[in-house]
Amino acid sequence: MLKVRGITKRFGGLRVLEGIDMDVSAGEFVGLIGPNGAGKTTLFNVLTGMLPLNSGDVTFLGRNITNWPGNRVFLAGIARTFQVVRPFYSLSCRDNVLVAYKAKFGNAGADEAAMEALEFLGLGKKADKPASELNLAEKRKLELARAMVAKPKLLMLDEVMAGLNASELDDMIDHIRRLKQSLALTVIAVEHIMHVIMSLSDRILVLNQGKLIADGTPKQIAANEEVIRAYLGEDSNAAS
Amino acid sequence: MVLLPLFDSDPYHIHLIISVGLMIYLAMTWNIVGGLAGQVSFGHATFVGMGAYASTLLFINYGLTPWLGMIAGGLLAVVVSLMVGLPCFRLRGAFFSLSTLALAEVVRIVVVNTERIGPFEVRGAAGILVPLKGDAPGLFQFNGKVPYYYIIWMMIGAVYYISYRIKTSRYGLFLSAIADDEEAARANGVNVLKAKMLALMVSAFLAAIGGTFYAQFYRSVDPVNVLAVGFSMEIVLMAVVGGTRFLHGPIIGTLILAPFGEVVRASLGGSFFGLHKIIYGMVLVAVILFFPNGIASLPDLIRGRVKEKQNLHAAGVGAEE
Amino acid sequence: MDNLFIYLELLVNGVIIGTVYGLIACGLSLIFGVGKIVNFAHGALLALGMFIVYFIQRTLAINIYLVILPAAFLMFWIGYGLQFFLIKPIIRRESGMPVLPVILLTAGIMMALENLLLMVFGSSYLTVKMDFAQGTLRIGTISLPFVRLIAFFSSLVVVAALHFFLSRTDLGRAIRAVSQDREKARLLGVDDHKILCITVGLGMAITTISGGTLLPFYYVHPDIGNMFLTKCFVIVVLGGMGTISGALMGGIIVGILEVVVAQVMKVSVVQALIFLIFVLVLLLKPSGLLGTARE
Repeated sequence: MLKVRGITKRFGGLRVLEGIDMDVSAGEFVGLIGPNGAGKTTLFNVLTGMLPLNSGDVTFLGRNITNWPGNRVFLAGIARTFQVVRPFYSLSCRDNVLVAYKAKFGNAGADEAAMEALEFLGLGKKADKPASELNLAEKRKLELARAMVAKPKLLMLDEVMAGLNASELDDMIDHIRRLKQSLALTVIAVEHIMHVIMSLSDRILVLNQGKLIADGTPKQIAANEEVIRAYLGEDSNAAS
Repeated sequence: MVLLPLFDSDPYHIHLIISVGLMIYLAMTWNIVGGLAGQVSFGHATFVGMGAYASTLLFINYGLTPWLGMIAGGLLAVVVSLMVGLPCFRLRGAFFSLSTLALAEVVRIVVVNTERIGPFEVRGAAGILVPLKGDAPGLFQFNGKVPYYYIIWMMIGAVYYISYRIKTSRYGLFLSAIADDEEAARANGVNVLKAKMLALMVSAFLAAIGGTFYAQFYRSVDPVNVLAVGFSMEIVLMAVVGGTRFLHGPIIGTLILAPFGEVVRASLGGSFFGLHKIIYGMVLVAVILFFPNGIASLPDLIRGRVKEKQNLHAAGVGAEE
Repeated sequence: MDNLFIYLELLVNGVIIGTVYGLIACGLSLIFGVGKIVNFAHGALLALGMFIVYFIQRTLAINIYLVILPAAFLMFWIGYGLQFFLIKPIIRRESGMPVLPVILLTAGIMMALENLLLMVFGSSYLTVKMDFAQGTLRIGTISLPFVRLIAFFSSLVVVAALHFFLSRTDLGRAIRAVSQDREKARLLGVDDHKILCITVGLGMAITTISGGTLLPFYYVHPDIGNMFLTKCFVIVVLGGMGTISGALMGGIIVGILEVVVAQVMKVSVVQALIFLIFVLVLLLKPSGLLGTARE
């Protein structure tokens, strides 16, 4: 479903992404891991049209979406969450979700779809509260509700587990599993919390200093020498 | 309020109210872009000036009634808004505002240095005068002040209604999202440029109509008054002090500041020229520091405080038992 | 041969005034580079600094060059206070970069300050009467008034001092650290809020020094603020945001441009041209260099 070829991204003289090739098939759960500064969020930003790339191609569902603007990428079926959560703070939860729905489908059926999405993520009771009043876990779930209401085909999660406590983590994992199933989603998730990403992913890609250094099942990655070396001396949140 | 002229026929008072009314109208047109979409433009006066110049010049040269001339002025403003908005909306917040300031000054300097454009005598810094035709409703001119009074209140009603329709529509939602977090809005499917441009075009069109009213009411149009950055600033000020998140914010802001400013200017203006503007500036600073959402947000703030006190009280009582 | 000397004189004058502009822009560049805030009141504050110099000189009737440093000292504290009392509360309040409130706040300060100056000093163009350094240096057919030369050299001295300060002193290093990565600097123990206050004060002082040296051959008027606000930003944007050498280079480019274009157009039209160039540069510069100005 997603074909990425030769992505290169430079910031001035700094090469943040180099020759990234990637294939994601429909229905897969792909984990994207790597030490801090490896370029994971940059890759997300390039794929979703938030940053221009220097060279390379991105094909989604057969269409070339290279350099498409962010909103067009969303409308084509790719939704994302942000590493530092970004709800629309002054809008209610309902309105947060409505923005995404109405951008894609217009006004028809908007309210029902919004409530459905909010309730799926357990935010039904807070529908009319402003997003500023939510705690972190709720805000992350709000971002998920916003992402899912437009029925995306591909969901890209950027460290959606960061900052959650143990019970919130379990709750989030559960929601993501159910989300993936009910919408028949394909998921690419950046994550630092190892046990989570290992258990959720069908396949894991490892990014280090802008290059893809490994691609395999969780078992293969865990045993991969180069991956282990890349992480040595790097504070990875393996325990949490 | 609407029936005031029946009670108070002092022309000075009515003139004052109409002036205030015009500022309310203009502040509300600015708020469509500034408040709804969160894009602070310091060049709003340019659109006002275009309306004023366009309808007046068309009237002088072709005898076209300002009632139609104002549509032409509005369209001119829309065209200019496209030329300004399409490039400048790509700039980040503060730089967008800076560029609106710069471009507004460019227009003013160009007009000041232009004597004529084709058949139209622009007369540079001297400005142009609206030909006096006495009582001529068909030509948007009245001898008395009262008709202007009713017209401006109708215009205020119209712009309020239009703002309301925008705010409660799909685009209003998109604009609020853009005001909160433009990138997140884009990542969720909103065509940010299109939304901002729509708001700007509506705002520009309505501002130009306000410009025609300005011309027909004050009967003279010149760059110093109608194209100055100071004028834009005043408009922004009225909307922000009142509260940009509220439809009635610009109304409240103007009602508080404008009469006050007028009184200060009339009584102390001779010896302390510009005092009212100093106070305006300080009020703006104070509002941003203490009431960032404007004076119209006071009821909400008070309600919030009351709730806090109630919660504390309830918690205190509960703990004692 | 005559033409060559005319062009040369224009060029030299452009470089001279451009250097002074560059210094003014350095002040802005410093403040913007470190604090990442666009201060709309910067022009008005420059005007304030120049008026202070003018006023002290008029009242005490002493050599203007003696007044500049004390005035700069005063403006340092005004800048410090501005950041401390007015801008810091807003930054503290918001989680991200509070763009909108800062724009409006500084615009409010600009409005109040400009009209205060207007009220106190009137709307006429004021100049300083110079008894000191009235002469002119002549090289061939090029004449260089001493007052311009003083402005030129003092600007160079200040720029050099600033460079030295930023690269060799602890405080300077702290300032650079905050400008590169505020979070990291704070984690390393730097009081970033205090650094910001100092930086704003320093920027204002620098701006005042250059404004003061400008006075002997320029004029002061409450409207200068507006003109210099945009001019400063043109320079800063042209030369690369937040670097000293960039501000200097940008200043010289603008200075030369101004002097050359002024031969064929009216002064006010030259200003309009500069405003246009500003918008064009903002739009055309690659986002890599610009980073902070475009999405």
